[in-house]
Amino acid sequence: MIGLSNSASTSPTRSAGTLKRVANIGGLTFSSASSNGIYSMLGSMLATFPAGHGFTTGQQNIGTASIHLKNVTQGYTERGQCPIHILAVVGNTIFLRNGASASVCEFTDFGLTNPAPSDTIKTRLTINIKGYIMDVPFTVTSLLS
Amino acid sequence: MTDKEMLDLWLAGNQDVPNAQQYYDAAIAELGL
Repeated sequence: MIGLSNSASTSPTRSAGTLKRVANIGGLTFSSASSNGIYSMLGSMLATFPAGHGFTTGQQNIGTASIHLKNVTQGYTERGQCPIHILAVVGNTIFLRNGASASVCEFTDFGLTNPAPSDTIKTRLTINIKGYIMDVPFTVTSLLS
Repeated sequence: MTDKEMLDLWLAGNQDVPNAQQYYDAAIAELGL
Protein backbone atom coordinates (compact mmCIF):
# COMPACT_ATOMS: atom_id res chain seq x y z
CA MET A 1 0.00 0.00 0.00
CA ILE A 2 1.24 3.44 -0.84
CA GLY A 3 0.76 6.11 1.73
CA LEU A 4 0.33 9.66 0.65
CA SER A 5 0.75 12.56 2.94
CA ASN A 6 -0.51 15.78 1.54
CA SER A 7 -0.22 19.14 3.15
CA ALA A 8 -1.69 22.40 2.10
CA SER A 9 0.63 24.46 -0.03
CA THR A 10 0.83 28.16 -0.42
CA SER A 11 0.77 29.96 -3.72
CA PRO A 12 4.02 31.51 -4.83
CA THR A 13 4.04 35.22 -4.31
CA ARG A 14 5.99 38.00 -5.93
CA SER A 15 7.85 40.22 -3.57
CA ALA A 16 7.00 43.82 -4.33
CA GLY A 17 10.50 44.89 -3.46
CA THR A 18 12.36 42.45 -5.70
CA LEU A 19 12.34 44.36 -8.96
CA LYS A 20 13.26 48.01 -9.19
CA ARG A 21 11.12 50.13 -11.44
CA VAL A 22 12.47 51.96 -14.48
CA ALA A 23 10.43 54.75 -16.06
CA ASN A 24 10.66 55.69 -19.74
CA ILE A 25 11.26 59.29 -20.69
CA GLY A 26 9.98 59.98 -24.15
CA GLY A 27 10.02 57.47 -26.95
CA LEU A 28 12.37 55.26 -28.88
CA THR A 29 14.13 56.87 -31.82
CA PHE A 30 15.42 54.67 -34.57
CA SER A 31 17.80 55.00 -37.43
CA SER A 32 16.87 52.32 -39.91
CA ALA A 33 19.52 52.95 -42.49
CA SER A 34 20.37 50.88 -45.52
CA SER A 35 23.74 50.05 -46.99
CA ASN A 36 23.41 48.31 -50.34
CA GLY A 37 19.92 47.19 -49.39
CA ILE A 38 20.95 45.78 -46.00
CA TYR A 39 19.13 47.61 -43.22
CA SER A 40 20.54 48.33 -39.79
CA MET A 41 18.52 49.11 -36.68
CA LEU A 42 20.00 51.48 -34.15
CA GLY A 43 17.86 52.91 -31.40
CA SER A 44 18.31 55.27 -28.49
CA MET A 45 16.11 55.56 -25.42
CA LEU A 46 16.05 57.48 -22.16
CA ALA A 47 14.86 56.14 -18.83
CA THR A 48 14.95 57.01 -15.15
CA PHE A 49 16.52 54.41 -12.90
CA PRO A 50 16.27 54.24 -9.12
CA ALA A 51 19.00 55.85 -7.05
CA GLY A 52 22.00 53.64 -6.49
CA HIS A 53 21.73 51.88 -9.84
CA GLY A 54 25.50 51.65 -10.25
CA PHE A 55 25.55 51.86 -14.05
CA THR A 56 28.29 53.81 -15.80
CA THR A 57 28.62 55.64 -19.10
CA GLY A 58 29.65 53.34 -21.91
CA GLN A 59 28.83 50.15 -20.03
CA GLN A 60 28.13 47.32 -22.43
CA ASN A 61 25.60 44.51 -22.42
CA ILE A 62 23.59 45.50 -19.38
CA GLY A 63 20.61 43.58 -20.65
CA THR A 64 18.64 42.62 -23.70
CA ALA A 65 15.70 43.94 -25.62
CA SER A 66 13.00 41.68 -26.94
CA ILE A 67 11.98 43.01 -30.33
CA HIS A 68 8.45 42.71 -31.67
CA LEU A 69 8.39 43.93 -35.24
CA LYS A 70 5.40 44.30 -37.51
CA ASN A 71 6.12 44.97 -41.16
CA VAL A 72 2.89 46.69 -42.09
CA THR A 73 3.73 46.83 -45.80
CA GLN A 74 4.76 43.21 -46.20
CA GLY A 75 2.17 41.94 -43.72
CA TYR A 76 4.27 39.90 -41.33
CA THR A 77 5.12 39.99 -37.67
CA GLU A 78 8.26 38.58 -36.13
CA ARG A 79 10.30 38.61 -32.96
CA GLY A 80 13.98 39.11 -32.34
CA GLN A 81 16.42 40.10 -29.66
CA CYS A 82 19.31 42.52 -29.28
CA PRO A 83 21.77 43.55 -26.57
CA ILE A 84 21.31 46.80 -24.66
CA HIS A 85 24.20 49.11 -23.85
CA ILE A 86 24.52 52.38 -21.96
CA LEU A 87 25.18 55.48 -23.99
CA ALA A 88 25.43 58.00 -21.16
CA VAL A 89 24.58 58.15 -17.47
CA VAL A 90 23.41 61.48 -16.10
CA GLY A 91 22.52 60.89 -12.47
CA ASN A 92 19.51 58.64 -12.44
CA THR A 93 18.60 59.30 -16.05
CA ILE A 94 20.31 56.95 -18.47
CA PHE A 95 20.48 56.99 -22.24
CA LEU A 96 20.31 53.44 -23.57
CA ARG A 97 21.14 52.18 -27.03
CA ASN A 98 20.78 48.88 -28.76
CA GLY A 99 24.08 48.92 -30.61
CA ALA A 100 27.67 49.67 -29.70
CA SER A 101 29.13 52.82 -31.19
CA ALA A 102 31.09 51.43 -34.07
CA SER A 103 29.18 48.25 -34.75
CA VAL A 104 26.69 47.58 -37.47
CA CYS A 105 23.43 46.19 -36.19
CA GLU A 106 21.69 44.66 -39.12
CA PHE A 107 18.13 43.40 -38.88
CA THR A 108 19.39 39.89 -39.54
CA ASP A 109 21.82 40.18 -36.60
CA PHE A 110 18.77 40.47 -34.36
CA GLY A 111 16.93 37.54 -35.91
CA LEU A 112 14.76 39.74 -38.12
CA THR A 113 14.06 39.70 -41.84
CA ASN A 114 15.83 42.39 -43.82
CA PRO A 115 13.05 44.76 -44.92
CA ALA A 116 12.60 46.47 -48.27
CA PRO A 117 12.73 50.17 -49.17
CA SER A 118 9.43 51.99 -48.52
CA ASP A 119 8.31 49.40 -45.98
CA THR A 120 6.53 50.72 -42.92
CA ILE A 121 7.56 48.89 -39.78
CA LYS A 122 6.26 49.12 -36.25
CA THR A 123 8.85 48.17 -33.66
CA ARG A 124 8.37 47.51 -29.98
CA LEU A 125 11.32 47.01 -27.68
CA THR A 126 10.81 45.44 -24.29
CA ILE A 127 13.90 46.04 -22.20
CA ASN A 128 15.05 43.26 -19.91
CA ILE A 129 17.66 44.22 -17.32
CA LYS A 130 18.24 41.87 -14.43
CA GLY A 131 16.74 43.25 -11.24
CA TYR A 132 14.67 45.92 -12.99
CA ILE A 133 11.24 46.18 -14.49
CA MET A 134 10.32 48.78 -17.08
CA ASP A 135 6.95 50.51 -16.98
CA VAL A 136 6.08 50.10 -20.66
CA PRO A 137 7.89 48.97 -23.81
CA PHE A 138 9.44 51.50 -26.18
CA THR A 139 7.64 51.73 -29.52
CA VAL A 140 8.24 53.46 -32.83
CA THR A 141 6.82 53.42 -36.35
CA SER A 142 9.27 53.90 -39.21
CA LEU A 143 8.93 54.43 -42.94
CA LEU A 144 12.07 53.05 -44.52
CA SER A 145 13.81 55.01 -47.22
CA MET B 1 26.65 55.87 -35.92
CA THR B 2 28.47 57.94 -33.32
CA ASP B 3 27.33 58.62 -29.77
CA LYS B 4 26.50 62.20 -30.72
CA GLU B 5 24.47 61.08 -33.72
CA MET B 6 22.53 58.74 -31.44
CA LEU B 7 21.80 61.59 -29.05
CA ASP B 8 20.90 63.93 -31.92
CA LEU B 9 18.47 61.30 -33.15
CA TRP B 10 16.90 60.98 -29.72
CA LEU B 11 16.51 64.75 -29.35
CA ALA B 12 14.99 65.14 -32.81
CA GLY B 13 12.38 62.51 -32.03
CA ASN B 14 11.56 63.72 -28.54
CA GLN B 15 11.06 67.44 -28.90
CA ASP B 16 7.77 67.16 -27.06
CA VAL B 17 9.40 65.67 -23.97
CA PRO B 18 9.75 68.16 -21.09
CA ASN B 19 13.40 69.06 -20.50
CA ALA B 20 14.53 67.07 -23.55
CA GLN B 21 17.18 69.65 -24.38
CA GLN B 22 18.54 69.53 -20.81
CA TYR B 23 18.79 65.73 -20.90
CA TYR B 24 20.58 65.99 -24.23
CA ASP B 25 22.98 68.70 -23.03
CA ALA B 26 23.81 66.74 -19.88
CA ALA B 27 24.58 63.61 -21.89
CA ILE B 28 26.75 65.56 -24.31
CA ALA B 29 28.68 66.97 -21.36
CA GLU B 30 28.98 63.53 -19.76
CA LEU B 31 30.48 62.16 -22.96
CA GLY B 32 32.75 65.17 -23.34
CA LEU B 33 31.42 65.95 -26.79
